[in-house]
Amino acid sequence: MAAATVLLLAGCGGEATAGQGGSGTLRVATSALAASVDPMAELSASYLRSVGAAEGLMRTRADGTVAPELAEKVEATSPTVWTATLRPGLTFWKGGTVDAAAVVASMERARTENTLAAGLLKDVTVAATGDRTVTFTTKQPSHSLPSALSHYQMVVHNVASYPDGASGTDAAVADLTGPYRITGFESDRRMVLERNERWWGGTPGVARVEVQKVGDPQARAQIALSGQAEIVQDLPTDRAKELAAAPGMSLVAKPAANTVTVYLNPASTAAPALADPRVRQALAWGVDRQEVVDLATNGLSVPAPSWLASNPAFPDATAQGYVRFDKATAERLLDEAGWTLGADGKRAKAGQKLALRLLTFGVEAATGEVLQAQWARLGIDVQVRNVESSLINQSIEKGDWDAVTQAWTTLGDTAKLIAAQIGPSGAANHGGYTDPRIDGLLAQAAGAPREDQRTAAVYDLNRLMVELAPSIPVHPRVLATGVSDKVTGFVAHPLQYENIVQPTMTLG
Amino acid sequence: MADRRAWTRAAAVVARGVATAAGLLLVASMLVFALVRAAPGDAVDVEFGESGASALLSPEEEAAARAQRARELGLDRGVPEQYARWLDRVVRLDLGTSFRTGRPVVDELGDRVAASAALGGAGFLVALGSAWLIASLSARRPGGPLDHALRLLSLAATAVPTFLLGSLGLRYAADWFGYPVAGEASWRRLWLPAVVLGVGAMPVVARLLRASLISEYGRPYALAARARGASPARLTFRHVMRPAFAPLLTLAGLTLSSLVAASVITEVIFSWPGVSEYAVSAISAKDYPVVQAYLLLVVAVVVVVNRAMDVLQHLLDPRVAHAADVAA
Repeated sequence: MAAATVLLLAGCGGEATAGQGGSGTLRVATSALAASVDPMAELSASYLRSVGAAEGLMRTRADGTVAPELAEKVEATSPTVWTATLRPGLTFWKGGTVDAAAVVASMERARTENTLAAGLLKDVTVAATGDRTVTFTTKQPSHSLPSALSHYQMVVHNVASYPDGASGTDAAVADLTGPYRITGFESDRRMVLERNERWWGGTPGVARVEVQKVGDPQARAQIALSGQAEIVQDLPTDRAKELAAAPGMSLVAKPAANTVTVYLNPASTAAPALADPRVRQALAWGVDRQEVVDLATNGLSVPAPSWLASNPAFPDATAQGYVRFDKATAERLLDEAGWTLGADGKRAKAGQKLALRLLTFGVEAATGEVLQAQWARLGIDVQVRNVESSLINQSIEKGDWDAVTQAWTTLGDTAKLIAAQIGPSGAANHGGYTDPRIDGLLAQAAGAPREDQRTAAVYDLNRLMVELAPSIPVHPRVLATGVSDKVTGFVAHPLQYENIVQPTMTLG
Repeated sequence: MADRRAWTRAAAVVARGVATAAGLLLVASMLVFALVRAAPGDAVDVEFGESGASALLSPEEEAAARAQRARELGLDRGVPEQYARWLDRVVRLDLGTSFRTGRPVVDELGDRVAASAALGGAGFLVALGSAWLIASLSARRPGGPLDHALRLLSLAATAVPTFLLGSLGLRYAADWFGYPVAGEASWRRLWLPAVVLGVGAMPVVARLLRASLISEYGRPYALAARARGASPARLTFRHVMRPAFAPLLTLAGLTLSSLVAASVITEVIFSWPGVSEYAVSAISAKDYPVVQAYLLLVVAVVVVVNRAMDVLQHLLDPRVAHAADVAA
């Protein structure tokens, strides 16, 4: 034990506390809502968390660091054991005590019922070692457990309230701990929440919250402009100027903690040029990211010179990678690779044109079109198709793809997330890139004893991604939220699920 | 006596209609099932794609988890077996359980059918009313200035896409009248999407009705009525209206069924809590039971409304009944 590294993550309790409850109803319009009040139902936990209904032992702060939430403190009591001490007096909405046994039951149900939770708790044994003490024992030394506990899928729920066969659409079934308890629920449509008077953090800022799903982005913009909701999430960037100038509200734009990235297939038979790292690097240097941000997101995002740049916990990543638009370097690399510019303004090698197909998804269509124009200036012919995400996945599975856009999250267990990008058999290493340096760096990023060593390894991996150019980082997605002037206390957050209803918000 | 014959014929039409409708629905069910599954990806792909679980699992663990989820959703069986099981439930009016909510699809659709019916019905009334007004004004003096102006109006209504009309309507109605952009289905919210739907459907009905009215005004019975001194209003309402509407019934049926069951764009733009808006989110989530049920509902509405229009035509138009007698 003496040799055990002890890391203390203590919560002062002040960050999340409200303590000065106001009155009124906060109206919220969102692009998506929970399909179930059961946080273990697929894709429901994040929405429950986003409206202030659900909480976990830990939470992610806006700066990317993690902090205790239901836990008073979380400390590493040995290299393979983390001990969480719960805040005193915690209760579920219905009055049940949130003690260590309840937390363990919640974790175990999560592991059984939800694949994502199972992944987060892989090789982790959870046990109650006191009324308010929960220990997490890992097979290998794990420095990322607090991060896993801050994940939205790790929210604590009262297992007794969710027996097998319970209706996931009955508000009365829900029993969580958040500052707002669900009193009305229409799956994927509407949710009504009321202040949880038992909340550990004091009295939440508003008495009632009404959340309405509004699927059409233009309709959401209209709701914001006409003042029919105090918080409007996921506003369309093409109306940014109008929304920013509108009286009575603010357009709060925050780059999300994910990076819109163009993944490249080095094994493509249709675009064999992508097998050459110089071509991939040329594509990356040939992106004027500021122009992409200006045109595709109306200036609401920021350039991402490297994949990790959208993670606020790694601020130096914004200085890594393709930090400038460098057309000359791009042209030189293409020339060196033998793809020379012809009289028709197109590059070719041995009679074959330099061309590629780019598949985009959803709002990334605009990004794809700007990239198409920019790469055309280098003499590269790009065909852009905006398709469903499932079609992109299918193309990748079949190997029938040249380039695709995706935006994987960068905030969380960074070692695992970057392993997914560049590690062997990583879920986002679509091109199957390998390098002898990767395994060692990944091991160091996950398991080095000191935090500075782990951080350095993550930065090295990020740098290696720039060198190998398996993908081209472009910009984070935009979290554009309309916030009424009546609302005080709204804090923009890079995670969508922390960015809607916050307990500190009040209505003026 | 004649009335009784008409009702007997109508009953025969209904019986034939039920039989052919059942056959049509069976064929449609196969097509619906095949089409839904022909789209790339499935609900498991969507869940794993959105959750990001792939980043935390080894390829083997992910494959096992995917297989487990596919088993839970019944997607591990062959498509013919899935179809047979689904059809077996459908004939017992069990449309399955939504992958996303775990609720019976019948309940999910049931919650939304009334809103769609109200919107479709109101849109239909707007379409029919405005078409009648435009057609009757145009038919009074074909080729006259008013006729040309109304034709231009109809063309304009045809040319403006529903999403544009809806978005503009929403924008100005919200600004000027405080129109509630989102919320429950209510009378206060119904009028605007109904107008948008109605305006979109109006031009075709108006053009057909105009042609029908002009044709009827030129028939001997109408000329005779006019010669006997019938006023334009009496001529229209007493003599011409019923026969002029008869050729319109089939079109009206198609229009009504599409407005009730397939107002996808309008329901999405106005966040109208109907079946089409619900189906859109189900399609993106690959919620097969919901998508299949929705498509089957659309087919059923089209079939039923058209059969109903056939029966109505037999009752309203003696010429159709006579033709049926001759054919028999």
